[in-house]
Amino acid sequence: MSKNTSMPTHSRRPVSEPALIRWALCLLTLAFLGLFLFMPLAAVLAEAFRKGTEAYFSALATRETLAAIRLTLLTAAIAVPMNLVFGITAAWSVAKFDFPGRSLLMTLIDLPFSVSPVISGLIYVLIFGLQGWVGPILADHGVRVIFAVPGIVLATIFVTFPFIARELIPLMEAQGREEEEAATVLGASGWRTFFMVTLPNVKWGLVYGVLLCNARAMGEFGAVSVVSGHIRGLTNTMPLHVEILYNEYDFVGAFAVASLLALLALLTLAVKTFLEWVHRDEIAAALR
Amino acid sequence: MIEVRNLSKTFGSFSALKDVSLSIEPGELVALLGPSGSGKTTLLRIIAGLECPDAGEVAFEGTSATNLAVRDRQVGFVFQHFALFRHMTVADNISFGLRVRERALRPSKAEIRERVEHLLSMVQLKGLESRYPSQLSGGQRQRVALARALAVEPRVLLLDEPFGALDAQVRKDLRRWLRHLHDDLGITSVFVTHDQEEAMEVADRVVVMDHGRIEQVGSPRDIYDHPVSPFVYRFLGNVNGFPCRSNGGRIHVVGTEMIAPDFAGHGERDVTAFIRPHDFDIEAGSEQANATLRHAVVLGPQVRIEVNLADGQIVEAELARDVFDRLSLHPRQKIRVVPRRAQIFLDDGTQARAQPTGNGSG
Repeated sequence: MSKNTSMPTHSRRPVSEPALIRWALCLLTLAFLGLFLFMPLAAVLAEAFRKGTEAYFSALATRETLAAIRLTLLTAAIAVPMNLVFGITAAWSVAKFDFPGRSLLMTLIDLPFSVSPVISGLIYVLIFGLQGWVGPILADHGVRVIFAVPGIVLATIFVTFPFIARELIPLMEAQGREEEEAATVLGASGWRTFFMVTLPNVKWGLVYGVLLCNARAMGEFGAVSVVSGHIRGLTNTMPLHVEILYNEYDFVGAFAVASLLALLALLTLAVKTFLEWVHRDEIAAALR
Repeated sequence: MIEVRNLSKTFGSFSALKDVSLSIEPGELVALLGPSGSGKTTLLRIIAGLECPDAGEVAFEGTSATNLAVRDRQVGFVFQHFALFRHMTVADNISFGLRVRERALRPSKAEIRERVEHLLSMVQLKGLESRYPSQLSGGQRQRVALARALAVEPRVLLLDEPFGALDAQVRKDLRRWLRHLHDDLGITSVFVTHDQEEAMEVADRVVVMDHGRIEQVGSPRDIYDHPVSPFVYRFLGNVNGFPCRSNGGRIHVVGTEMIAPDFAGHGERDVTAFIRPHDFDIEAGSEQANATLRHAVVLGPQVRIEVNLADGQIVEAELARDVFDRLSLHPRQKIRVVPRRAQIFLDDGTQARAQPTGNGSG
């Protein structure tokens, strides 16, 4: 995930492999990408447009599909800002301070990556479900978490938590604490130091983290599937909706929604590449 | 005036400072000199407030700074690796300390601009105000760091190995320039270095540290001429050490009998005799040759030679270029090496000066 480590140097390499090997490596990579990336993408688009553009757009315009899109956007709109705050806080504390339990916290941040999303979902059911620990109390106050929007948001936050923190921690650690120390000695308060020194130094890592976090928040399936209950038009996100449509043999509808999700991934990549290109000088300077 | 009282600091099981006390006079330029791990940087960081001592305290002008936060200590700190704000221009870096002040104390924009202009010309970087740190050379970056520290008009300037990350030539220029700057501004300054030449050249007073303790404090000349311990003796430049036995202050070293009158009353003791490379006389063509020349390095007007004594010990000596040329020395030549003076240390640290007795024996 550290796409900002190697900068193109445009210099002739003193060591080079024979042309044959270079071509073979390139072809192998392209073949692999073609098989596992481009072909599925093409298949999604082909299936989506099999019955023409009109069928495609009418499949997207159904009430339930629009509700799924709305819910996905809402979930991401809550989960991403939350994780932005959590991620910055966690990364800052881990990278800039020494405290007992620091390495434990590092491991905990990675936990959502190592735990199967289905298990993350089940944990929420265990806690917030009607037979769970907190669920009955909340239910008495009229709050439903499981099989409702709050559960979906919670599960999404859990699964996407590491993206921003993981992006920031190596960056902050590499930059060290000296600039913050310099700012403090010069009389800056903690807040000012953070907003004037720490944050500007990691802003590119932060942008990447947010983009990745957003992509995953919109695409998350496993954990959300467990807590959602698949109530059409109410608790269906886009990935869940794709599955339902597919299981009902509505291939055009399923692939139309899937193409939207794929488009989102491509858009994320495009934005990231565009930002890297626009700010290439600044990024190069920050790395030096 | 900075008063350091009984400071101790440990990092885990490593004891960085052990009961260190020191007072620094107003307007002084003091060097903390020592090998790595001697605690010099820790001492500097505690004075700045960037580390908290385990015991002891630091006082500025008589008031304890123990409860004073870093940002309220009014110190200027220059980091070894500059620690410039990489996303800010030179001008923004320098004005940072002024811009973060609370509104009532903050100078106006015009005043800040004026101050930056003044500092830029002082550190000889006029015209570079809109550059970014990555577009500057190491020497320029360090001068920006210095200007940034001075912009807030600190009571004391602290520099952590300020020239450590620079090329030899830039380092020499910059330390001379720092000395002049200090003479002009008169701001109390403390800098950390592991380079004895740097400490000797720049500082009014040198504090030699080792293993978390202060070994010796004094003027550069004082310290060089009267080192209090074998460590200081070794650390302040090249020296040859000869373990030997003293009887009534008489020692026999490098084929020469020497006497230390101060130890005349002593019995037979184990001692170490230290002889600086430039305290040897070299003779060629003598019948009493006691050494073989291994090789010679010409360093401008000086020549540094390495010789093998008959007992296999290697001795480093220095002589003037013209003497070297006159003797027309060449490797593997048999020569005679005679010490002019030696400093003798007992195990307990007491020391005495020894001179040749004059009746040299081959």
